[in-house]
Amino acid sequence: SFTSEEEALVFMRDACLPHPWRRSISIDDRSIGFISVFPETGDDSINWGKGIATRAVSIAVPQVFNDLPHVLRLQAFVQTQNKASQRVLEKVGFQREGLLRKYSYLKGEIHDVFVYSLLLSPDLLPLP
Amino acid sequence: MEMDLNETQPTVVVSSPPGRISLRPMTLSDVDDYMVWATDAEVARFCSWEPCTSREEAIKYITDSVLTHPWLRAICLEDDRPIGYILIMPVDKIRKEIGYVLARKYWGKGFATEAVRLVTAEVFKAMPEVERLEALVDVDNVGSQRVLEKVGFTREGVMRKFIVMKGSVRDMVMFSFLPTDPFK
Repeated sequence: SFTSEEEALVFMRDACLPHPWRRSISIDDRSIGFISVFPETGDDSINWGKGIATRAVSIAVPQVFNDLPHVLRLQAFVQTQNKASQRVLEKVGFQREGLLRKYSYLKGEIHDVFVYSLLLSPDLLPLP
Repeated sequence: MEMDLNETQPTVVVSSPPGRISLRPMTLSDVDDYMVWATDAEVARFCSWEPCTSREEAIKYITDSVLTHPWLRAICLEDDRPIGYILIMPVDKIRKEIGYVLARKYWGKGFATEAVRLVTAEVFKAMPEVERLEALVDVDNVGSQRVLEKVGFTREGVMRKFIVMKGSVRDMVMFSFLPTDPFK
């Protein structure tokens, strides 16, 4: 378990990365910001399946909404084959909105992706 | 149909069956027909622009935003007068977005459907690098959603609180058409 947020964020940067995972922030007209986590080289697969990514995302999410008060929607695009990353998002409370065909152009390849979103309200702060 | 920005001769796309609609570049002389839909608040409701309030404003908008658009075509009836327009916007190297507007008098007659069908076919023919044509429609804009469904676009999902339109946060329905998809 983590003893500090900083530790979790370091883990997010160093250990969660084998999940290729791009998150974007949607403000005003569509997406104008990105939080991108880029994979580092090295075999960190020993850290998979321990809930580290889930914990890191669940810590980061309220921080983002807190630090960026105009943000209403966080969205994530995950390749269809990346089941582990989809589970992370679902465990944190992201809703899968649909399958976007040939949406993502990454490293010269075109991928179908699922789009997930987490809304400040009602997902994070449900109405009483 | 030419997609070349340097074309000097406007080319015409004739639809089939002939005599329904045709597509051509807009010109300043279309301003009065343009004002028919541009001043209509019902038409503007789901568009990013506010209704036009004067002929001068219309001329300015056509000059600054319509004539300069990389891909925009007037939707014309037999008399070659526009009843709306249809446009293609680049999203990235492989994706384009389609948009269209029609004067209210001509809603519900299949004109937009025909224009979308024609333009979709033409985009994939003239731009072979395009892998995906998409459209984003306000969740309340049922008429426009029907247009895309009738052409054969796939409704992929509702993107919640996706966009701020005229000060209000809107859910948008995402549609797509791939070069391999069949037309309905």
